[in-house]
This record gives sequence, structure tokens and C-alpha cells, in this order.
Amino acid sequence: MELPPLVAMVGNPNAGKSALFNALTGARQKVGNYPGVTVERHSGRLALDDGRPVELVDLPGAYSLDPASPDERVTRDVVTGAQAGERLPDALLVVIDASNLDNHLRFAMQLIALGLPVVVALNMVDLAERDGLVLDPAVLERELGVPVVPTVAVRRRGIDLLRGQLTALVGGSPAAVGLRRLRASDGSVDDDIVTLQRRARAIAAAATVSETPVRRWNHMLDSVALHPLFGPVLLVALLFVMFQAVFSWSEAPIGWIEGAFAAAEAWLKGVLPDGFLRSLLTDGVIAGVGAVVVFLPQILILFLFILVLEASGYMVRAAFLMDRLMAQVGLSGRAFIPLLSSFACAVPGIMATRTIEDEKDRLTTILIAPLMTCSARLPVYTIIIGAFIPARQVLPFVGLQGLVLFALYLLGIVGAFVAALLLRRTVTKGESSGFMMEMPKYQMPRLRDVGLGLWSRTEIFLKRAGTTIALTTVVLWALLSFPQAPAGQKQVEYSIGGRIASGLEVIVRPIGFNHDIALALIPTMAAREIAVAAIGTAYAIDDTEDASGAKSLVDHLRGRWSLPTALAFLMWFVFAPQCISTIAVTRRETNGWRWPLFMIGYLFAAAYVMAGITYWLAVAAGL
Amino acid sequence: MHAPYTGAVTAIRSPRHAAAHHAADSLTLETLPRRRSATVGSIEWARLASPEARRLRELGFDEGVAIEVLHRSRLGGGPIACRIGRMTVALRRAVARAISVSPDPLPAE
Repeated sequence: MELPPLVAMVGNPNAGKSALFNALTGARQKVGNYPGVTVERHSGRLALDDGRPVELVDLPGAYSLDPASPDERVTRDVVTGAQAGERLPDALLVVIDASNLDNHLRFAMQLIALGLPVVVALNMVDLAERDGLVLDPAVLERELGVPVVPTVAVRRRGIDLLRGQLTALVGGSPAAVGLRRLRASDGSVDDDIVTLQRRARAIAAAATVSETPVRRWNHMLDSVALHPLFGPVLLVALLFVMFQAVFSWSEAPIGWIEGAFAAAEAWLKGVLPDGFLRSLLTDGVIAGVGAVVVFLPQILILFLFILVLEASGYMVRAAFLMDRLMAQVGLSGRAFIPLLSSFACAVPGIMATRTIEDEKDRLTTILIAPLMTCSARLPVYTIIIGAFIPARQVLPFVGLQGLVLFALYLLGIVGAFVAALLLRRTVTKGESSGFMMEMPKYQMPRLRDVGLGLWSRTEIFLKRAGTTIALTTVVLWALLSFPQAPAGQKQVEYSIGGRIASGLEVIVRPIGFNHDIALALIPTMAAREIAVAAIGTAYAIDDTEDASGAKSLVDHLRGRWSLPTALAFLMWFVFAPQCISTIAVTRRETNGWRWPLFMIGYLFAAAYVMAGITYWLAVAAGL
Repeated sequence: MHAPYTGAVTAIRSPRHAAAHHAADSLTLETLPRRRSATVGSIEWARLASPEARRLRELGFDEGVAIEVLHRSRLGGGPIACRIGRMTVALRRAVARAISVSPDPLPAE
């Protein structure tokens, strides 16, 4: 089958490319990877006016064809046909921000000079108009020599016109091609950035019909958000609200999911005879997967906040505020964005470090990213906090449980800063790379874009729960179920898994961990959230010997763990690098095993020491 | 033996000298008063690391471009947010120091 024509979307960061991509392709999108690099490849299908399909690929935002990061390198390599695993595009869709012509036109001119058929989307014209900027697209069209379509991606304005131009472009309509040829051979396009920039400014001035000074309300928002005193207060308040919301908003949906899994278990117990298959399905699959899926609401709430902060433009302000603090541990404000993403998951966080240009800076950020409390730790924290920390109000709207959770997050951050400080003086010694960033305009986040972002996270999470986690819990179930314990012996201790755990118990006993925890630590190497599933499975198997029948996981924990053990367990999870995906992405991003092994080593050492200190302090305090 | 003496003299003279110098014509982006519109004079590219210099060019920093400082943390040390063209850019003080600016004449009142 012949491949459909390929159209690449290119533009500066903050040109509104993703929104336009979403408007053009709707939900027909695919996220993949370019071979050899971890840069995500976003592609989607689009039907032209004459019904032919076109593949649209959304390239990473770049400032020029002279790449400063792996992301920008992919953009350059695709548009020049040098990217492995990608064909040379049949046409380029260049996206420029109407209210930032000076800057975006320069990159557009570099792209047009490549000689591929080009259509320019003059995006966000509504914001430019609101900003008091009236533009004449005809002047731009004449000066650039390519069709220019004014668009408002978020309101789907200009989308049909754009599709019409693309139809003409990849169909080889003589009018469009003729227009392009007129200027492509101009010869005046120089590669020198300063020269190009000056020409871009001249074109922008010519295309500007009228202009009032830059919008003030944007600056007004900034005078609060970036205020030396109110700025940091606002940031801390936002983060606090975010973490409280993770707990309080998720209660109801968690109840529904628990209900659904309980119903499935009851139904299976009704239709299946007691025995091997029933135990596998109820104790293995449902107990294991259910224990993890239940945390989907919390993870989605966390991602919701991060996506909204990013889409609104606030994230870069946060980076600005954090730069001073980050500079003190040898990092830059830029590191704040990957680190905040790591609160959702270290994998996208580590991938987001690609925007950090300095290698040492980037490496340090990668090494400390796993210390940010990722959403996979939430299931573990939630269940332990729920079982051992009383649900008391300490202040109006501030519960003790939420406060403990906040403290755990804070501990991860402090740990990361201490680690960065030490690393920058030893293994990643060097000059700091500085901080220079464009601050995008504030924007109302679009429900649709945030929704699509959340949906792709849900898909990834459920896929993981359905594969890695389901498989690991089934293996664990098997290890715990065989061989069958003779009467009078505990199944969880007699089984193969139990015996392995007994060996490990010797090592973790000094930091207050019991047999159950030693057992849970083994499968938890694959992913942290399995800890809950593993304990759930172990107690479910043990439960069959229990005359009282189905006890909740929380009741089991309260009965078997002491408070110092529970606290040590929480502390362990603040530091322990138990996530295969993180280790794998670190290996890919650092090109080898050296750094991931270093990361595993220092984090396990920290986890062991900190859990031990916590346990013994708690015991000494008589808790 | 003479070295400390000479050093002391320089230490006394240089701040005065610098102040006089700045007041005249070579204000930098680091010292430009907040919300005072100005024009970029020259940029000392040699003082910047090469990736920094390139990024600065890509963000449109050039002679004759309109510029304005929007935010600067009072206690010093933190980055500066400035408006260049119709864009807001954050940069560190060390970079701002390499960009000399001349304030636009204030409108007559």
C-alpha cells in the first residue's frame, strides 16, 4: 500500500502548534518514538478536501535550524530529510504566532528557504487583535512567497482554509506551487541569524497595519506571579492546593472503582467453583490489578494540575521564581519543569530534561528526578497513611493525613536538593549553564487539549496495569501459592516466594521491615505501585486460612505492622529507585549503564539509611 | 610592597568612576530601571558563552531593538524578566550585564 503524503508541522515553541495539531487531526493521533532518541513523535491523520488522507507529524518546537537540544535536532533532521525512520515531508505547515511576528518570521524564512512546499498558519490572530495588533496577511504572503492562512486553532477558525491550502499543496495545484516558486529563488535569504532577524522585523513592520503597545494585562498578571514576595507565596499555595486536591477530589471516584472490582470479585466467586482458577483470578488478578487501578483518579488529578499549569503559561513563571534557589544547588530554573513533571512520573520528567542545554546540568537533573514523589508512590503512601495516620483536622481545611503526605513530598524535594548540591561538587562538577527562557503569554487552557493529554495518560496507565502489573502480580501469586503449605504452617511463609523473602528479611530487619515487606520489595522492583498489589495479594492468599474471611487491606496492615515500621516503609519509598521504566529511560538518555547504576546505588543507600534512622527514632520516641 | 597600596586606590576610585560612566551613556540591562523603555545599544558577545550568545540572537536581541525591564527580584541575584519586541524573555543578571541599553527620552509632561 502506498503511504499517504507526509506534512510536517514546524514552528517556534509557544506558536500554538499542538492546539492546531489537535484541531486538524482530532482524536486520530498516535504517539511514538523516533528510533535511537527518546523524542516523541506525534502524528495524526487528516482527510483532505478531495478525500485523500495525509499524515500530519507535529515536530518539536525550535528557534532555528541550528539545534541546541536533541528535540531541536529531530526537527532539523526531519525537515532536511536526514532523520532515520522518517521520510522527507511532502510539505511543511509552518506555524507562527501572530503577535510575535518579529521572532517567528525569522524561523519561518529559514524553513521556506529549504525549498519544500510550505503553507504558513498565522496562528492566534484573535489574541493579536485583542493585543491591539492588526495584520495584513496579504503583505506576508507577498513577502514570503507562500500562502498564509490566519487561524485561531482553539476556536477552529481558519481550519477549513488551511486544509484547502494543504490540498492544493500536496496535490500540486499549479497556482499554489507557482506562488511559491516566485519567491523561492529569491536568493536574498541569508543564513546568518542576525541578518535574517532584521529582515523578519522589516517584513513584520510592513505587515502590521496598526499596533498599540503590548497588552498590559499580561504584565499585570506577571506583576503578581513574579512579585518578589507574592510570587513565591502564590507558587507554594498552588502546589499545596494541588496536593490537597489529589486527596480530597479523588475520594468519590475511588469508591466507584473499588465497588466495581468488589462486584467483579463477588460475581467470579459466584460462578466459579472454589479452586485453582478462582484463586488465580480473584486473589491474583483482581486483588493485584484492582489495588493499582484504584489510584487512577489521584494520578489524573495530579496530571490535570500539571497540564493546566503548563498550558496556561504559568509553568515558565514558576521556573523564573525557582531559578535563584536552583542556582544555589548548581542547577537552573529550567530544571524546575522536568522536576515538577516528575511528580506525575519520572519518565516524562527525565525526557523533559532534553530542553536543558548544559550536559552536567542535565545529568544532575536526571539523577535527582526520581526523588520527586511520582504518582506511583501515591498508592503506597495513601494506603499506609490511611492505615496509620488518624484522619484528624489540624487546622480548618487541613487534615493531618494531607499534612503527612505534604511532608513526604517536601522530604523528596529536600533530598533532591541535598543530592544535587553533593553531585555538583563531585561527579557532575562544572559551571552552571545559566538560564534563558521565553515566557509565553498567559492563556486560558483549552478543555479539549487538557482532555486529550489526560486521555493519553489514562491509556498508558491502564496499559501498564493490564500488562506489567497484572503479570507481576500473577507471578507473585504463583510464587506464594506453591508449594501448598501443610496444616499448621503459614502459606505466605512456606511458599517459594515466602522463602525468598525470608532471605531478604535478614537484610531489611535492622531498618524495621517485617516478612511481608521483604516479600513486597521483590516484585516492587518492577514498579513502586506493585508494593500495594503485592501486599494485597499476600494477605488475600493468607485470608483463606483466616476464619473471619475477607478483611480489608487496611485492617491487615493495622494488625501486623507497628507504627515505626510503617513510617520506615514510607521513608524507604521516598528514596528507593524501584521502577524499571525510570532506570531504562535513564540508560537511554545517558547512553549507557554507568549513570543508571550510579543512580540505583546512591538511592538505595539513601533509602536504607533514612528508613533505618526513621525506624529507630520512632522506636526511641515510643511510637 | 606597592601592590596593596595601588589596589586600595583602585578600589576607592573604581566605584565612582563606574557610577559616572553608567550615568552617562552605557546603562546595561542589569541596571536599567524597571518599566523604563529603552533601546539596545551594543551587546558584548565575547562575554557570553557561545550557546548563550546564540540563544540570545535567536530570541531577537540585536542593536536598535526596543527593550524594557519588567521584573527583577529586589534582593538581587535572581533572574530578570524583560520585554523585547512583543516577547517576554527571562535571563540571568550576568547576561543582562553584557547588554548595554540607552533609555528612550521620557515624554514631555
